[in-house]
Amino acid sequence: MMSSVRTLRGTWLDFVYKERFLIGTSLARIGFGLVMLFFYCIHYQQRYFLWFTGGALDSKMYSQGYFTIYQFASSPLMFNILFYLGIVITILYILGYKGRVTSVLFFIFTYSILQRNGFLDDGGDNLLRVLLVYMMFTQNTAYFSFDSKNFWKKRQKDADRYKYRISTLFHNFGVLACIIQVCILYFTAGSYQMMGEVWNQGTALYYIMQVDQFSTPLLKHTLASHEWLLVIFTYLSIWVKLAFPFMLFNRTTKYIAVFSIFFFHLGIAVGMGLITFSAVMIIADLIIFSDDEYRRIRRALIRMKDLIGSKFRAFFRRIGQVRGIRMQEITVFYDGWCPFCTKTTNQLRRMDCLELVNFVSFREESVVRENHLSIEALEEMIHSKKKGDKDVKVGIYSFIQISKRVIPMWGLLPILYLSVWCGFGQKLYKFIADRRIIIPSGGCDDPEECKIHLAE
Amino acid sequence: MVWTLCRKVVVYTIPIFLSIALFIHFFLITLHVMPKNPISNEISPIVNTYVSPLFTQNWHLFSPNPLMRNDVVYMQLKFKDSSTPSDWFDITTPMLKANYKNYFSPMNRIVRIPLTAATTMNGMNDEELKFVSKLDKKHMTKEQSLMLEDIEKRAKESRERMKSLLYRFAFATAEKYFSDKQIDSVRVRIVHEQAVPFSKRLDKNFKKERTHEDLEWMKFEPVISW
Repeated sequence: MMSSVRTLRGTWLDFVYKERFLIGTSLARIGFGLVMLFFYCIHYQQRYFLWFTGGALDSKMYSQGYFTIYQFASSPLMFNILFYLGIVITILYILGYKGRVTSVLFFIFTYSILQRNGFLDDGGDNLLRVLLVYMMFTQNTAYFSFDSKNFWKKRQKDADRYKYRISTLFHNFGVLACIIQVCILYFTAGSYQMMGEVWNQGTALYYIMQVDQFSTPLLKHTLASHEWLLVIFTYLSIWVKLAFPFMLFNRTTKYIAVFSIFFFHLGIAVGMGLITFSAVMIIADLIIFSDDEYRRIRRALIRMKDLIGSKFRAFFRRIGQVRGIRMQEITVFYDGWCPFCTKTTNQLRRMDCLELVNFVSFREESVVRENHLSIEALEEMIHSKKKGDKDVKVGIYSFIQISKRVIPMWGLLPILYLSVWCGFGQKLYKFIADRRIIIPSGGCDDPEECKIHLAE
Repeated sequence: MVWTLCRKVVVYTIPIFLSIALFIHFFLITLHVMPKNPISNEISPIVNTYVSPLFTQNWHLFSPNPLMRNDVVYMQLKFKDSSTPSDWFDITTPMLKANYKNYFSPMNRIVRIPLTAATTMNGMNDEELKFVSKLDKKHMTKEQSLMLEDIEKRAKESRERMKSLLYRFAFATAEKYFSDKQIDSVRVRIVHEQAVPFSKRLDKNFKKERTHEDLEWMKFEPVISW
């Protein structure tokens, strides 16, 4: 009996004191920050109209509303200082600099700008405003931030220390609050939908589609003649929301719930034009996955990428064997003593799925002699030669030959041709080639010559 | 020794305290967001005080009844040098069209200002409208009459607020497009166009019901333009 109580206590303490959800909160930090940065930037020109006295709201409305820091914006200068400060703090928040302080400041500034003119807001802003309160208690700079290095250093040192454990405890409860909040949102929205007559009849989406403010021409065009889809989507939107909180208890159903909600909000963004609303809702779902789950997802994605990559490579290799394509094979003579050139050729080799480009360093013995090339010209710029052809392409023209054969480089071709047509392509190439760093290696035929003489 | 014991107690008590706090917090939040019920009615003053302003939230999101009509806002102007008023200018449709062209534009949100004001002009929410429409005004209880009084008072205040918002938006729009003219006064028209009922969707001759409400002429006041 005592031992099971002890085990239960241990499990509980482990649950509340062990770090989880560090990746999710870090991603949410960046996501929410980017949404707010977009919000500030997109309304920059209209900022006085939207948030300053004498604009959309009269001073009575501002004084009746909730207190925000913009109450101090008595002059355009003061307003601008607060507005720009908001932008700076948002950028610092995204970068994860001094996370604890920036989280609090980001909340204050975001809350203030959203509350200043509530007529602009939607459900996404409402959720963001509430989640930022809980986010202040989380450790959201452990990953992808300026603070992350310090965090892990400190963690190594203080992991068992009292203060650190309490901070982790608050982080876990902050995350838990975020997750419960998201569940309440979906469950409540689903419940209200259940009560609505047109939702019950499956025609709600049909009616929403007729409201110009909430339907894009794309939605109207896609769904207008598909009544079945309208009804199915109407019901699905209710079911997915109602089921969401319950689906989080199992790992598999959790993935299904989050991906369903992701596609649901993607549909809202495209179909209803509610961009930031959907963005906030999707970002909020990122908090739900634990670090282990993120690692598992990452491993699965790498495996999938490798699998798709190998299939693609095999497919293109087969295409590359076609005689007409094989005849396009070229040999490129690059500078093997130049680290930048070596790195670039390695990247190109990886992208060359048709295997049409052979890279050969002209620093290798006999390459220059066998191909009847001039070492001075080669040192100046890259050369390439088609198989069985005597014509040698130099510099930018060589690069064009490579780009033609490496499929991911096709996008660059118009720019390369344009640069040649404008007359600066070759000059630009030479400019870069002249400034490359060369580190001679090998070629130490005489061991005595290469010996390092240490000071005696 | 005492210090270690204190720490141990804290390590156990803080999670318990936080769990209780989290439970109470979300209990109040749930009462705040869910449909009205006897519990939420009883403790609504506590709930409202607690959630306001940090945790106020509304998850109706097009439910229970989504908006089923299009509202269009027009304005008409009188200029100082002319006795005849101008034509009616559609304020909201060009903004919506600009939004359709680019969703990553300020129009995406700015258009919400006049449309929210036009939509909520009557000042009552769905529940209040339902209550008022079902009420037998000749045989009201004292409680019902007090509730009606309260609803009507709030609706009037809200209508005045929305009207002010709408006029300010019209002034800003007038300023934007007629900055070279001397504007004397402006009036606003809200056109409501009902959606085609689902049962009539195939009827090509079906005419949408259109009604409009004209607000009074208002002396022009300069407002920062958008």
